[in-house]
Amino acid sequence: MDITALRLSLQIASVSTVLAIIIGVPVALLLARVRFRGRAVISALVLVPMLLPPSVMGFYLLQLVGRQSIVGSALESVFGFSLVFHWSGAVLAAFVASTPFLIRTAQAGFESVDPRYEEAARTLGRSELAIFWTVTMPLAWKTLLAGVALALARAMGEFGATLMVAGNIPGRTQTMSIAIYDAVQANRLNDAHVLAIALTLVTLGLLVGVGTLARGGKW
Amino acid sequence: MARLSTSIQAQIGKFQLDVAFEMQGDTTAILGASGAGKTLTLRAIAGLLHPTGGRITLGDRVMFDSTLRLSIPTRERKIGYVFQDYALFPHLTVAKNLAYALHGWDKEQRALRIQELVDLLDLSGLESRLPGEISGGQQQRVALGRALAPGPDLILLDEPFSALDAPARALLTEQLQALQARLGFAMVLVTHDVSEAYALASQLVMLSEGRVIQQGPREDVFHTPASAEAARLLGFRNLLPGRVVGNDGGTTTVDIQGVRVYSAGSGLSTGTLVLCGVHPQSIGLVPHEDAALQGQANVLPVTVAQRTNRGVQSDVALAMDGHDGKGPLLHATVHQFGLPAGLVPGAHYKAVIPQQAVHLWPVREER
Repeated sequence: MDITALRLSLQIASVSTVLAIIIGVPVALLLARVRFRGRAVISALVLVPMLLPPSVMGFYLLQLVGRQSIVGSALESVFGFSLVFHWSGAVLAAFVASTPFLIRTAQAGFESVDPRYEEAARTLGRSELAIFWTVTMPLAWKTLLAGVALALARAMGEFGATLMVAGNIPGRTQTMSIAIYDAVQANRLNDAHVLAIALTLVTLGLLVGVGTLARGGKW
Repeated sequence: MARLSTSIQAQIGKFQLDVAFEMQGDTTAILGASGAGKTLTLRAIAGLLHPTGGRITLGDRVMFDSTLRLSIPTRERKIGYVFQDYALFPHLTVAKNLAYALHGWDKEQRALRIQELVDLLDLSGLESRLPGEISGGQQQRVALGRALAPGPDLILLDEPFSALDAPARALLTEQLQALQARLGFAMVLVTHDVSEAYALASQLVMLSEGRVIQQGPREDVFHTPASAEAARLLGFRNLLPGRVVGNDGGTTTVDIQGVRVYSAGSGLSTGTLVLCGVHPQSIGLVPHEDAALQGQANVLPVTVAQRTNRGVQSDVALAMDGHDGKGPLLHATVHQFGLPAGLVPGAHYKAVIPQQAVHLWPVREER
């Protein structure tokens, strides 16, 4: 069996998840802790990728970064690089599809931390950044980790938007889930079975690993 | 000791807070019913709530000034805060909770300080426990130690006794006073319980619906409540409507449903409608036959209507003998020890109330 598809899936999902953490955690914290104008709008926007069909999401992304779009043509003329038909396009698709899961979960995690602990830390002279790392994170990280696991699983399984943006190029943009579709289309059912079981096992393995981490390394 | 001076105006939803007081002495109690704005006042002093107006100073440090558009962030105020539910960090041990406040201290200094606090607050042996593994009273002491650790000039305590049983309360009161004598900090505590305020504070600030209704030295406030509302907060259970019927020689005579009561002081003209306030603990009981009473006191024949024992004290409801034979009820709190025998419903006694203990507040007549 060709493991390129598996390697690509893992690569795309992990890059996407790292991005999801970098962008998603601050957004979740903002939504959980700060009452600002436009909060409801951002809250709703976060939900959009969860509600729209992936193909529609993919279509929008294509409109956004395609070669004819402002962003896409700028990227191409400056860096000579295009997201379309490139694995980075699959990262974008996975990122957009999976980050809402992380944001929603992390927001609930941050909201579950009694603000009084943070207030107590403030009266004890600690900076906001120190409070985040010493109080908020230690109390919220298990929920946060669950959010990361969800995002990772969602990114591993991304199909519709990825197909729209990155296409189906074996060895370059063909991820596991697309390879399964491809195998079924070509009536290679044995391949489809093997790929499906492999994807299931890898995803389960990742989730169990994350869950283990959340229990402090104890099985 | 740095003196706290506050003037706070804030709007929280529909609730308006407008509180001003200047700390006198080293302990001030903010007394009020729940919802009076006590905690909001503390939060504003600590910088956890941003007032819309006013000025807060601690010694020569300005913490907040709305006209200067100045608000020092909480972390720089150096004011300790003991939260009502303690807010101990649940993921940190007792020692680490204490150490949290000592960030930036030299390692040795920090260890010494933690040891000092552990000794002072009787926390020895609990250092490596988590807050969830110790009793409420112990949590309270850790919270106090954490607030005191960096050596603040002022600490704020929100209902410090509310979650403790009676022995723990008594112990904490003693410990607080000993700590204060030793470490020299000022305290502002919030409570709805008069006896707690009385036990610890030298100054009282009484709040009602976001406003100060009376403030001053403890004794002054207790001996001369400024209004019936203040008196009610101070535990004056007897607030009886009456009418001034005489006023001479520094004594005011009031008629309460046919019962004549004398109050020291004058200034209210005859005919004025008043509320007559008597604290339950100002009432003494003597056997009905005992006539050898002297001095400027009211001696009122009463019939015991009900007796409720509360620990070492008893609440006694007394029916005064009014003109139609059934007068208004008077509530007295008497100590169990040295109580006259036969204090049971139906028994006849004399209630003795010093004239100085009878307070009168004119009532504005409803039109």
